[in-house]
Amino acid sequence: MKQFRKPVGQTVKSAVKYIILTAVAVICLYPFLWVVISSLKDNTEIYGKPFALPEAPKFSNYVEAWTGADVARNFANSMLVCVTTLVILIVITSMGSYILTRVRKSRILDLYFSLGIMIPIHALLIPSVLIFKNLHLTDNLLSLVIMYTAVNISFSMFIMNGFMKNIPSELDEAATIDGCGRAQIFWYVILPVAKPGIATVATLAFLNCWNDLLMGLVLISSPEKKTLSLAISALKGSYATQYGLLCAGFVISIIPVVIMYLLFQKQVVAGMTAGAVKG
Amino acid sequence: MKKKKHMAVVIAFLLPVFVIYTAFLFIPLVQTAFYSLTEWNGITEKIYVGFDNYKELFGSSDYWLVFWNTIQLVVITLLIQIPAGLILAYLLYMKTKGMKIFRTIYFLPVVIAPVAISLMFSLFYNSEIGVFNRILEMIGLGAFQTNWLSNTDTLLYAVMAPQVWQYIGLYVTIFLGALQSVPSELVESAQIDGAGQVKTFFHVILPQIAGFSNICIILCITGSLKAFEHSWIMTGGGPGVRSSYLGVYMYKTAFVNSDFGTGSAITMTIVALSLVITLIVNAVFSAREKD
Repeated sequence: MKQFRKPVGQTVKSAVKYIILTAVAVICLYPFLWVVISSLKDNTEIYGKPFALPEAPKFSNYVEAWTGADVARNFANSMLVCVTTLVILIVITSMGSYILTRVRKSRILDLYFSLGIMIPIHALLIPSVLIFKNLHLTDNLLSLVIMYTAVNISFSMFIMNGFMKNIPSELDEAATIDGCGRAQIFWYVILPVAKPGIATVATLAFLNCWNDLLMGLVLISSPEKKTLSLAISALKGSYATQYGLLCAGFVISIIPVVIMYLLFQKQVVAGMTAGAVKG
Repeated sequence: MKKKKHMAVVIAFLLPVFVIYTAFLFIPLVQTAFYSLTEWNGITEKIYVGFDNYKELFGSSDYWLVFWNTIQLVVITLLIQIPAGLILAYLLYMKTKGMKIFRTIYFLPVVIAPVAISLMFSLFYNSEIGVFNRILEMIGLGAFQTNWLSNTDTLLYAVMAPQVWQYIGLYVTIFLGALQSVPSELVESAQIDGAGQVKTFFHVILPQIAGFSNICIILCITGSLKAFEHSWIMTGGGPGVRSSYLGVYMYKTAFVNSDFGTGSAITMTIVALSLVITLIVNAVFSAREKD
Protein backbone atom coordinates (compact mmCIF):
# COMPACT_ATOMS: atom_id res chain seq x y z
CA MET A 1 0.00 0.00 0.00
CA LYS A 2 2.71 2.38 1.01
CA GLN A 3 4.20 2.14 -2.43
CA PHE A 4 1.07 3.55 -3.99
CA ARG A 5 0.54 6.42 -1.63
CA LYS A 6 3.12 8.73 -3.06
CA PRO A 7 2.01 8.56 -6.68
CA VAL A 8 -1.62 9.13 -5.63
CA GLY A 9 -0.56 12.15 -3.57
CA GLN A 10 1.38 13.44 -6.51
CA THR A 11 -1.51 12.97 -8.89
CA VAL A 12 -3.75 15.01 -6.59
CA LYS A 13 -1.10 17.69 -6.25
CA SER A 14 -0.59 17.80 -9.97
CA ALA A 15 -4.35 18.00 -10.56
CA VAL A 16 -4.63 20.92 -8.14
CA LYS A 17 -1.76 22.59 -9.93
CA TYR A 18 -3.42 22.28 -13.35
CA ILE A 19 -6.74 23.47 -11.94
CA ILE A 20 -5.10 26.61 -10.54
CA LEU A 21 -3.14 27.26 -13.73
CA THR A 22 -6.21 26.78 -15.90
CA ALA A 23 -8.37 28.99 -13.69
CA VAL A 24 -5.83 31.80 -13.97
CA ALA A 25 -5.65 31.29 -17.73
CA VAL A 26 -9.43 31.66 -17.91
CA ILE A 27 -9.29 34.84 -15.83
CA CYS A 28 -6.67 36.22 -18.23
CA LEU A 29 -8.47 35.27 -21.43
CA TYR A 30 -12.19 35.44 -20.70
CA PRO A 31 -12.47 39.23 -20.56
CA PHE A 32 -11.09 39.44 -24.10
CA LEU A 33 -13.29 36.63 -25.26
CA TRP A 34 -16.35 38.40 -23.85
CA VAL A 35 -15.49 41.54 -25.78
CA VAL A 36 -14.92 39.59 -29.01
CA ILE A 37 -18.29 37.82 -28.62
CA SER A 38 -20.07 41.06 -27.74
CA SER A 39 -18.56 42.78 -30.75
CA LEU A 40 -20.86 40.59 -32.88
CA LYS A 41 -24.03 41.55 -31.03
CA ASP A 42 -26.37 44.50 -30.88
CA ASN A 43 -27.35 46.34 -27.72
CA THR A 44 -30.46 44.28 -27.00
CA GLU A 45 -28.50 41.07 -27.14
CA ILE A 46 -25.70 42.44 -24.96
CA TYR A 47 -28.21 43.56 -22.33
CA GLY A 48 -30.42 40.50 -22.57
CA LYS A 49 -27.94 37.64 -22.83
CA PRO A 50 -24.52 39.06 -22.01
CA PHE A 51 -22.88 35.64 -21.75
CA ALA A 52 -24.49 33.88 -24.69
CA LEU A 53 -23.01 33.48 -28.14
CA PRO A 54 -24.47 35.88 -30.70
CA GLU A 55 -27.61 34.53 -32.40
CA ALA A 56 -26.83 36.07 -35.75
CA PRO A 57 -23.29 37.48 -35.74
CA LYS A 58 -23.38 41.16 -36.68
CA PHE A 59 -20.22 41.65 -38.69
CA SER A 60 -21.55 45.03 -39.69
CA ASN A 61 -20.28 46.32 -36.34
CA TYR A 62 -16.76 45.86 -37.66
CA VAL A 63 -17.47 47.59 -40.93
CA GLU A 64 -19.01 50.52 -39.13
CA ALA A 65 -16.27 50.77 -36.50
CA TRP A 66 -13.55 50.59 -39.16
CA THR A 67 -15.04 53.31 -41.35
CA GLY A 68 -16.71 55.45 -38.72
CA ALA A 69 -13.82 55.85 -36.34
CA ASP A 70 -11.16 56.20 -39.03
CA VAL A 71 -9.20 53.41 -37.36
CA ALA A 72 -7.16 52.81 -40.50
CA ARG A 73 -5.63 56.26 -40.25
CA ASN A 74 -4.96 56.01 -36.52
CA PHE A 75 -3.38 52.65 -37.11
CA ALA A 76 -1.15 54.05 -39.86
CA ASN A 77 -0.12 56.95 -37.62
CA SER A 78 0.83 54.59 -34.79
CA MET A 79 2.78 52.37 -37.20
CA LEU A 80 4.61 55.31 -38.71
CA VAL A 81 5.55 56.73 -35.32
CA CYS A 82 6.62 53.40 -33.83
CA VAL A 83 8.64 52.18 -36.80
CA THR A 84 10.46 55.51 -37.23
CA THR A 85 11.19 55.59 -33.51
CA LEU A 86 12.54 52.04 -33.60
CA VAL A 87 14.85 52.70 -36.52
CA ILE A 88 16.31 55.84 -34.95
CA LEU A 89 16.50 54.29 -31.50
CA ILE A 90 18.28 51.16 -32.67
CA VAL A 91 20.78 53.00 -34.85
CA ILE A 92 21.80 55.51 -32.19
CA THR A 93 21.81 53.17 -29.19
CA SER A 94 23.70 50.37 -30.94
CA MET A 95 26.35 52.88 -32.07
CA GLY A 96 26.58 54.40 -28.60
CA SER A 97 26.60 51.04 -26.89
CA TYR A 98 29.33 49.75 -29.24
CA ILE A 99 31.62 52.62 -28.23
CA LEU A 100 30.84 52.45 -24.51
CA THR A 101 31.29 48.69 -24.19
CA ARG A 102 34.04 47.90 -26.72
CA VAL A 103 35.99 50.98 -27.72
CA ARG A 104 36.10 53.51 -24.93
CA LYS A 105 34.49 52.63 -21.64
CA SER A 106 33.13 55.45 -19.52
CA ARG A 107 31.53 54.93 -16.15
CA ILE A 108 30.25 58.49 -16.04
CA LEU A 109 28.40 58.10 -19.33
CA ASP A 110 27.05 54.68 -18.28
CA LEU A 111 25.65 56.28 -15.15
CA TYR A 112 24.31 59.26 -17.09
CA PHE A 113 22.43 57.05 -19.54
CA SER A 114 21.02 54.84 -16.78
CA LEU A 115 19.46 57.85 -15.01
CA GLY A 116 16.51 57.81 -17.41
CA ILE A 117 15.31 54.41 -16.17
CA MET A 118 14.14 56.13 -12.99
CA ILE A 119 12.41 59.04 -14.69
CA PRO A 120 8.66 58.71 -15.24
CA ILE A 121 7.38 60.11 -18.54
CA HIS A 122 5.30 62.64 -16.57
CA ALA A 123 8.46 64.56 -15.75
CA LEU A 124 8.90 65.44 -19.42
CA LEU A 125 5.35 66.40 -20.40
CA ILE A 126 5.32 70.09 -19.54
CA PRO A 127 8.74 71.00 -20.97
CA SER A 128 8.13 68.91 -24.09
CA VAL A 129 5.07 70.97 -25.01
CA LEU A 130 7.21 74.09 -24.90
CA ILE A 131 10.20 72.57 -26.68
CA PHE A 132 8.12 71.48 -29.65
CA LYS A 133 6.35 74.81 -29.76
CA ASN A 134 9.75 76.46 -30.13
CA LEU A 135 10.76 73.93 -32.79
CA HIS A 136 7.48 74.60 -34.65
CA LEU A 137 6.51 70.96 -34.30
CA THR A 138 3.27 71.45 -32.36
CA ASP A 139 0.71 68.78 -33.25
CA ASN A 140 3.29 66.96 -35.36
CA LEU A 141 3.94 63.21 -35.28
CA LEU A 142 7.67 63.92 -35.41
CA SER A 143 7.46 65.29 -31.86
CA LEU A 144 6.18 61.90 -30.69
CA VAL A 145 9.01 60.12 -32.52
CA ILE A 146 11.59 62.31 -30.80
CA MET A 147 10.12 61.91 -27.32
CA TYR A 148 9.60 58.15 -27.64
CA THR A 149 13.20 57.82 -28.80
CA ALA A 150 14.45 59.88 -25.85
CA VAL A 151 12.49 58.03 -23.17
CA ASN A 152 13.52 54.61 -24.51
CA ILE A 153 17.24 55.34 -24.72
CA SER A 154 18.09 54.38 -21.15
CA PHE A 155 16.69 50.89 -21.09
CA SER A 156 17.79 50.23 -24.69
CA MET A 157 21.39 51.14 -23.89
CA PHE A 158 21.13 48.96 -20.85
CA ILE A 159 19.99 45.86 -22.73
CA MET A 160 22.25 46.55 -25.72
CA ASN A 161 25.30 46.92 -23.41
CA GLY A 162 24.54 43.51 -21.94
CA PHE A 163 24.64 41.90 -25.39
CA MET A 164 27.62 43.88 -26.71
CA LYS A 165 29.75 43.04 -23.66
CA ASN A 166 29.34 39.33 -24.34
CA ILE A 167 30.69 39.45 -27.88
CA PRO A 168 34.25 38.04 -27.78
CA SER A 169 36.91 40.70 -28.37
CA GLU A 170 38.82 38.36 -30.71
CA LEU A 171 36.27 39.28 -33.35
CA ASP A 172 37.31 42.95 -33.30
CA GLU A 173 40.96 42.02 -33.24
CA ALA A 174 40.72 39.69 -36.19
CA ALA A 175 38.86 42.33 -38.16
CA THR A 176 41.45 44.99 -37.27
CA ILE A 177 44.22 42.73 -38.55
CA ASP A 178 42.27 42.31 -41.75
CA GLY A 179 42.42 46.08 -42.09
CA CYS A 180 38.90 47.08 -41.06
CA GLY A 181 38.29 50.50 -39.49
CA ARG A 182 36.08 51.00 -36.44
CA ALA A 183 33.03 51.87 -38.46
CA GLN A 184 33.45 48.82 -40.66
CA ILE A 185 33.94 46.56 -37.65
CA PHE A 186 30.75 47.92 -36.17
CA TRP A 187 28.74 47.45 -39.32
CA TYR A 188 30.09 44.14 -40.64
CA VAL A 189 31.18 42.34 -37.48
CA ILE A 190 29.43 43.57 -34.36
CA LEU A 191 25.94 44.43 -35.61
CA PRO A 192 25.22 41.00 -37.13
CA VAL A 193 26.31 39.30 -33.90
CA ALA A 194 24.30 41.70 -31.74
CA LYS A 195 21.04 40.86 -33.56
CA PRO A 196 19.34 39.16 -30.58
CA GLY A 197 19.98 42.26 -28.48
CA ILE A 198 18.56 44.45 -31.21
CA ALA A 199 15.48 42.26 -31.53
CA THR A 200 14.91 42.49 -27.78
CA VAL A 201 15.24 46.25 -27.72
CA ALA A 202 13.00 46.58 -30.76
CA THR A 203 10.21 44.49 -29.28
CA LEU A 204 10.16 46.22 -25.91
CA ALA A 205 10.47 49.71 -27.37
CA PHE A 206 7.70 48.93 -29.85
CA LEU A 207 5.34 47.96 -27.03
CA ASN A 208 6.25 51.11 -25.09
CA CYS A 209 5.56 53.39 -28.07
CA TRP A 210 2.48 51.56 -29.28
CA ASN A 211 0.82 51.59 -25.86
CA ASP A 212 1.65 55.12 -24.73
CA LEU A 213 -1.21 57.49 -24.17
CA LEU A 214 0.19 60.41 -22.14
CA MET A 215 2.66 61.87 -24.65
CA GLY A 216 0.04 61.65 -27.35
CA LEU A 217 -2.56 63.41 -25.19
CA VAL A 218 -0.18 66.29 -24.60
CA LEU A 219 1.53 66.64 -27.99
CA ILE A 220 -1.16 65.74 -30.54
CA SER A 221 -4.45 67.56 -30.96
CA SER A 222 -5.89 67.18 -34.45
CA PRO A 223 -8.01 64.06 -35.07
CA GLU A 224 -6.24 63.04 -38.28
CA LYS A 225 -2.92 62.84 -36.45
CA LYS A 226 -4.13 60.76 -33.54
CA THR A 227 -2.42 57.51 -32.71
CA LEU A 228 -4.32 54.33 -32.00
CA SER A 229 -4.13 54.79 -28.20
CA LEU A 230 -5.66 58.23 -28.52
CA ALA A 231 -8.35 56.84 -30.79
CA ILE A 232 -9.19 54.10 -28.27
CA SER A 233 -9.48 56.65 -25.48
CA ALA A 234 -11.94 58.54 -27.67
CA LEU A 235 -14.00 55.42 -28.46
CA LYS A 236 -15.78 55.63 -25.13
CA GLY A 237 -17.14 59.05 -25.97
CA SER A 238 -18.11 58.41 -29.59
CA TYR A 239 -19.89 55.08 -29.05
CA ALA A 240 -21.10 55.85 -25.54
CA THR A 241 -24.23 53.72 -25.87
CA GLN A 242 -23.53 51.41 -28.82
CA TYR A 243 -21.71 48.68 -27.01
CA GLY A 244 -21.40 46.28 -29.94
CA LEU A 245 -19.65 48.95 -31.98
CA LEU A 246 -17.47 49.87 -29.02
CA CYS A 247 -16.39 46.25 -28.67
CA ALA A 248 -15.68 45.97 -32.40
CA GLY A 249 -13.53 49.10 -32.23
CA PHE A 250 -11.72 47.63 -29.27
CA VAL A 251 -11.02 44.35 -31.07
CA ILE A 252 -9.73 46.11 -34.19
CA SER A 253 -7.43 48.25 -32.08
CA ILE A 254 -5.82 45.42 -30.14
CA ILE A 255 -5.47 42.88 -32.99
CA PRO A 256 -2.18 44.26 -34.39
CA VAL A 257 -0.42 44.11 -31.05
CA VAL A 258 -1.80 40.64 -30.30
CA ILE A 259 -0.53 39.31 -33.64
CA MET A 260 2.81 40.99 -33.10
CA TYR A 261 3.01 39.45 -29.64
CA LEU A 262 2.30 35.96 -30.89
CA LEU A 263 4.89 36.33 -33.66
CA PHE A 264 7.66 37.84 -31.54
CA GLN A 265 6.89 36.12 -28.27
CA LYS A 266 10.40 34.76 -27.94
CA GLN A 267 11.89 38.25 -28.13
CA VAL A 268 9.33 39.68 -25.72
CA VAL A 269 10.01 37.03 -23.09
CA ALA A 270 13.77 37.25 -23.67
CA GLY A 271 13.55 41.01 -23.34
CA MET A 272 11.62 40.89 -20.10
CA THR A 273 14.02 38.46 -18.50
CA ALA A 274 17.16 40.03 -20.02
CA GLY A 275 16.10 43.42 -18.70
CA ALA A 276 15.60 41.95 -15.26
CA VAL A 277 18.77 39.84 -15.17
CA LYS A 278 21.06 42.61 -16.20
CA GLY A 279 19.65 45.04 -13.65
CA MET B 1 46.84 60.69 -37.60
CA LYS B 2 45.36 57.34 -36.74
CA LYS B 3 44.55 58.47 -33.20
CA LYS B 4 42.70 61.51 -34.52
CA LYS B 5 40.60 59.34 -36.77
CA HIS B 6 39.90 57.02 -33.87
CA MET B 7 38.59 59.89 -31.72
CA ALA B 8 36.47 61.13 -34.60
CA VAL B 9 34.73 57.75 -34.83
CA VAL B 10 34.17 57.63 -31.08
CA ILE B 11 32.56 61.05 -31.09
CA ALA B 12 30.52 60.46 -34.24
CA PHE B 13 29.10 57.24 -32.81
CA LEU B 14 28.32 58.63 -29.38
CA LEU B 15 27.03 62.04 -30.37
CA PRO B 16 23.53 61.21 -31.70
CA VAL B 17 22.43 59.24 -28.66
CA PHE B 18 24.03 61.74 -26.30
CA VAL B 19 22.43 64.75 -27.94
CA ILE B 20 18.90 63.31 -28.14
CA TYR B 21 19.06 61.99 -24.58
CA THR B 22 20.39 65.27 -23.21
CA ALA B 23 18.11 67.58 -25.18
CA PHE B 24 14.87 65.67 -24.76
CA LEU B 25 15.24 63.86 -21.45
CA PHE B 26 17.86 65.41 -19.23
CA ILE B 27 17.26 69.10 -19.97
CA PRO B 28 13.44 68.77 -19.75
CA LEU B 29 13.88 67.12 -16.38
CA VAL B 30 15.94 70.07 -15.16
CA GLN B 31 13.35 72.43 -16.66
CA THR B 32 10.55 70.68 -14.78
CA ALA B 33 12.52 71.14 -11.56
CA PHE B 34 12.83 74.84 -12.37
CA TYR B 35 9.17 75.27 -13.38
CA SER B 36 8.16 73.78 -10.04
CA LEU B 37 9.56 76.92 -8.43
CA THR B 38 7.45 79.25 -10.53
CA GLU B 39 3.88 80.34 -10.94
CA TRP B 40 3.00 79.87 -14.56
CA ASN B 41 -0.06 79.14 -16.66
CA GLY B 42 1.85 78.26 -19.83
CA ILE B 43 1.13 81.57 -21.55
CA THR B 44 2.19 84.52 -19.40
CA GLU B 45 5.67 85.08 -17.98
CA LYS B 46 6.85 82.68 -15.31
CA ILE B 47 7.04 84.25 -11.84
CA TYR B 48 9.65 82.83 -9.47
CA VAL B 49 7.92 81.89 -6.21
CA GLY B 50 10.51 79.70 -4.45
CA PHE B 51 9.00 76.73 -2.67
CA ASP B 52 5.47 78.19 -2.53
CA ASN B 53 4.06 75.51 -4.87
CA TYR B 54 5.38 72.78 -2.62
CA LYS B 55 4.07 74.50 0.51
CA GLU B 56 0.68 74.87 -1.11
CA LEU B 57 0.68 71.21 -2.21
CA PHE B 58 1.71 69.83 1.16
CA GLY B 59 -1.01 71.91 2.81
CA SER B 60 -3.71 70.69 0.43
CA SER B 61 -6.01 67.85 1.44
CA ASP B 62 -6.43 66.88 -2.23
CA TYR B 63 -2.72 66.24 -2.59
CA TRP B 64 -2.62 63.95 0.43
CA LEU B 65 -5.72 62.07 -0.68
CA VAL B 66 -4.08 61.41 -4.06
CA PHE B 67 -0.77 60.64 -2.37
CA TRP B 68 -2.39 57.95 -0.21
CA ASN B 69 -4.27 56.56 -3.20
CA THR B 70 -0.92 56.13 -4.91
CA ILE B 71 0.70 54.57 -1.84
CA GLN B 72 -2.26 52.19 -1.54
CA LEU B 73 -1.77 51.18 -5.16
CA VAL B 74 1.93 50.56 -4.51
CA VAL B 75 1.16 48.39 -1.48
CA ILE B 76 -1.67 46.45 -3.12
CA THR B 77 0.28 45.72 -6.30
CA LEU B 78 3.26 44.61 -4.20
CA LEU B 79 1.14 42.36 -2.01
CA ILE B 80 -0.75 40.76 -4.89
CA GLN B 81 1.41 40.86 -8.02
CA ILE B 82 4.73 39.71 -6.55
CA PRO B 83 3.44 36.69 -4.56
CA ALA B 84 0.99 35.70 -7.31
CA GLY B 85 3.71 36.04 -9.92
CA LEU B 86 6.12 33.95 -7.89
CA ILE B 87 3.61 31.22 -7.06
CA LEU B 88 2.36 30.88 -10.63
CA ALA B 89 5.91 30.89 -11.95
CA TYR B 90 6.85 28.15 -9.50
CA LEU B 91 3.83 26.07 -10.53
CA LEU B 92 4.86 26.45 -14.17
CA TYR B 93 8.46 25.65 -13.32
CA MET B 94 7.58 22.28 -11.77
CA LYS B 95 7.64 20.12 -14.90
CA THR B 96 4.36 21.46 -16.15
CA LYS B 97 3.02 20.34 -19.50
CA GLY B 98 1.98 23.25 -21.67
CA MET B 99 4.18 25.64 -19.69
CA LYS B 100 4.75 27.81 -22.76
CA ILE B 101 1.04 28.02 -23.54
CA PHE B 102 0.20 29.11 -20.00
CA ARG B 103 2.98 31.68 -20.09
CA THR B 104 1.74 33.01 -23.42
CA ILE B 105 -1.76 33.42 -22.01
CA TYR B 106 -0.66 35.01 -18.75
CA PHE B 107 1.51 37.52 -20.53
CA LEU B 108 -1.10 38.53 -23.10
CA PRO B 109 -2.74 41.31 -21.01
CA VAL B 110 0.70 42.84 -20.37
CA VAL B 111 1.24 43.72 -24.04
CA ILE B 112 -2.14 45.35 -24.54
CA ALA B 113 -2.38 49.10 -24.13
CA PRO B 114 -3.54 50.09 -20.64
CA VAL B 115 -6.00 52.44 -22.30
CA ALA B 116 -7.66 49.47 -24.05
CA ILE B 117 -7.73 47.43 -20.85
CA SER B 118 -9.33 50.36 -19.03
CA LEU B 119 -11.97 50.73 -21.72
CA MET B 120 -12.73 47.03 -21.45
CA PHE B 121 -13.12 47.17 -17.67
CA SER B 122 -15.31 50.24 -17.80
CA LEU B 123 -17.65 48.08 -19.91
CA PHE B 124 -17.56 45.34 -17.27
CA TYR B 125 -18.32 47.80 -14.48
CA ASN B 126 -20.99 49.55 -16.54
CA SER B 127 -24.23 49.58 -14.63
CA GLU B 128 -26.41 48.92 -17.70
CA ILE B 129 -24.62 45.77 -18.89
CA GLY B 130 -23.16 44.99 -15.49
CA VAL B 131 -21.07 41.96 -16.36
CA PHE B 132 -19.42 41.89 -12.93
CA ASN B 133 -22.68 42.22 -11.08
CA ARG B 134 -24.23 39.41 -13.11
CA ILE B 135 -21.26 37.14 -12.48
CA LEU B 136 -21.55 37.85 -8.74
CA GLU B 137 -25.21 36.94 -8.92
CA MET B 138 -24.45 33.70 -10.75
CA ILE B 139 -21.94 32.56 -8.14
CA GLY B 140 -24.32 33.40 -5.30
CA LEU B 141 -22.69 36.64 -4.22
CA GLY B 142 -25.53 38.82 -5.46
CA ALA B 143 -25.51 40.68 -2.13
CA PHE B 144 -22.21 42.32 -3.11
CA GLN B 145 -23.59 43.88 -6.27
CA THR B 146 -22.94 47.58 -6.44
CA ASN B 147 -22.30 50.39 -8.83
CA TRP B 148 -18.56 49.85 -8.75
CA LEU B 149 -17.40 53.14 -10.20
CA SER B 150 -19.80 55.41 -8.32
CA ASN B 151 -19.90 53.76 -4.89
CA THR B 152 -17.19 55.66 -3.00
CA ASP B 153 -16.28 52.57 -0.98
CA THR B 154 -15.45 50.51 -4.05
CA LEU B 155 -14.41 53.22 -6.51
CA LEU B 156 -10.66 53.24 -5.85
CA TYR B 157 -10.37 49.46 -5.74
CA ALA B 158 -12.44 49.08 -8.89
CA VAL B 159 -9.93 51.37 -10.62
CA MET B 160 -6.98 49.41 -9.21
CA ALA B 161 -8.28 45.96 -10.12
CA PRO B 162 -7.59 46.07 -13.88
CA GLN B 163 -4.06 47.30 -13.29
CA VAL B 164 -3.33 44.53 -10.79
CA TRP B 165 -4.90 41.97 -13.13
CA GLN B 166 -3.08 43.22 -16.23
CA TYR B 167 0.49 42.99 -14.95
CA ILE B 168 0.58 39.73 -12.99
CA GLY B 169 1.83 38.00 -16.15
CA LEU B 170 4.84 40.28 -16.26
CA TYR B 171 6.01 38.97 -12.90
CA VAL B 172 5.19 35.37 -13.79
CA THR B 173 7.44 35.70 -16.83
CA ILE B 174 10.32 37.34 -14.98
CA PHE B 175 10.19 34.87 -12.08
CA LEU B 176 9.93 31.93 -14.45
CA GLY B 177 13.06 33.15 -16.22
CA ALA B 178 14.70 33.48 -12.82
CA LEU B 179 13.70 29.97 -11.75
CA GLN B 180 14.99 28.50 -15.00
CA SER B 181 18.36 30.13 -14.35
CA VAL B 182 18.77 28.33 -11.00
CA PRO B 183 21.27 25.49 -11.57
CA SER B 184 19.35 22.22 -11.40
CA GLU B 185 22.23 20.52 -9.53
CA LEU B 186 21.51 22.78 -6.56
CA VAL B 187 17.88 21.71 -6.41
CA GLU B 188 18.71 18.04 -6.93
CA SER B 189 21.40 17.94 -4.27
CA ALA B 190 19.05 19.58 -1.77
CA GLN B 191 16.46 16.93 -2.51
CA ILE B 192 19.03 14.16 -2.16
CA ASP B 193 19.86 15.64 1.25
CA GLY B 194 16.21 15.04 2.14
CA ALA B 195 14.81 18.56 1.84
CA GLY B 196 11.10 18.57 0.92
CA GLN B 197 9.65 20.73 -1.82
CA VAL B 198 8.71 23.57 0.53
CA LYS B 199 12.08 23.55 2.23
CA THR B 200 13.90 23.42 -1.10
CA PHE B 201 11.86 26.39 -2.28
CA PHE B 202 12.57 28.60 0.73
CA HIS B 203 16.16 27.62 1.45
CA VAL B 204 17.60 26.83 -1.96
CA ILE B 205 15.56 28.48 -4.70
CA LEU B 206 14.41 31.70 -3.06
CA PRO B 207 17.92 32.91 -2.12
CA GLN B 208 19.04 32.20 -5.70
CA ILE B 209 16.39 34.43 -7.22
CA ALA B 210 16.59 37.24 -4.63
CA GLY B 211 18.15 39.54 -7.24
CA PHE B 212 15.12 39.12 -9.47
CA SER B 213 12.73 39.86 -6.62
CA ASN B 214 14.58 43.13 -6.17
CA ILE B 215 13.95 44.07 -9.80
CA CYS B 216 10.31 42.96 -9.64
CA ILE B 217 9.70 45.04 -6.53
CA ILE B 218 11.23 48.10 -8.15
CA LEU B 219 9.26 47.53 -11.38
CA CYS B 220 6.10 47.16 -9.32
CA ILE B 221 6.70 50.36 -7.35
CA THR B 222 7.78 52.55 -10.25
CA GLY B 223 4.90 51.16 -12.32
CA SER B 224 2.42 52.20 -9.62
CA LEU B 225 3.98 55.62 -9.21
CA LYS B 226 3.56 56.19 -12.96
CA ALA B 227 -0.05 54.94 -13.00
CA PHE B 228 -2.24 57.06 -15.20
CA GLU B 229 -4.38 55.40 -17.87
CA HIS B 230 -6.59 53.14 -15.77
CA SER B 231 -7.78 55.96 -13.56
CA TRP B 232 -7.94 58.57 -16.33
CA ILE B 233 -9.98 56.44 -18.74
CA MET B 234 -12.39 54.83 -16.27
CA THR B 235 -13.25 57.74 -14.00
CA GLY B 236 -11.18 60.74 -15.12
CA GLY B 237 -9.72 60.49 -11.62
CA GLY B 238 -13.03 61.66 -10.18
CA PRO B 239 -15.34 62.45 -8.58
CA GLY B 240 -13.05 65.32 -7.59
CA VAL B 241 -9.72 63.58 -7.10
CA ARG B 242 -11.10 60.55 -5.29
CA SER B 243 -9.83 57.96 -7.74
CA SER B 244 -6.75 59.89 -8.91
CA TYR B 245 -3.14 58.87 -8.53
CA LEU B 246 -0.28 61.35 -8.49
CA GLY B 247 0.16 60.97 -12.26
CA VAL B 248 -3.49 61.79 -12.91
CA TYR B 249 -3.47 64.68 -10.43
CA MET B 250 -0.40 66.09 -12.17
CA TYR B 251 -2.00 65.81 -15.62
CA LYS B 252 -5.21 67.46 -14.43
CA THR B 253 -3.43 70.25 -12.61
CA ALA B 254 -1.11 71.07 -15.50
CA PHE B 255 -3.14 70.36 -18.60
CA VAL B 256 -6.76 70.74 -17.50
CA ASN B 257 -6.34 73.60 -15.01
CA SER B 258 -3.31 75.13 -16.80
CA ASP B 259 -1.32 75.38 -13.58
CA PHE B 260 2.10 74.37 -14.87
CA GLY B 261 4.00 75.46 -11.77
CA THR B 262 2.04 73.26 -9.39
CA GLY B 263 1.91 70.47 -12.01
CA SER B 264 5.71 70.50 -12.16
CA ALA B 265 5.90 70.43 -8.37
CA ILE B 266 3.67 67.33 -8.30
CA THR B 267 5.92 65.72 -10.92
CA MET B 268 9.00 66.43 -8.82
CA THR B 269 7.38 64.70 -5.86
CA ILE B 270 6.77 61.63 -8.08
CA VAL B 271 10.40 61.64 -9.24
CA ALA B 272 11.62 62.08 -5.65
CA LEU B 273 9.37 59.30 -4.37
CA SER B 274 10.50 56.86 -7.04
CA LEU B 275 14.19 57.67 -6.46
CA VAL B 276 13.89 57.38 -2.67
CA ILE B 277 11.93 54.13 -2.74
CA THR B 278 14.29 52.56 -5.29
CA LEU B 279 17.33 53.54 -3.23
CA ILE B 280 15.75 52.09 -0.09
CA VAL B 281 14.83 48.81 -1.80
CA ASN B 282 18.32 48.52 -3.28
CA ALA B 283 19.93 49.28 0.08
CA VAL B 284 17.79 46.67 1.83
CA PHE B 285 18.66 44.03 -0.75
CA SER B 286 22.37 44.75 -0.84
CA ALA B 287 22.49 44.76 2.98
CA ARG B 288 20.83 41.34 2.99
CA GLU B 289 23.20 40.01 0.37
CA LYS B 290 26.14 40.92 2.60
CA ASP B 291 24.75 38.87 5.52
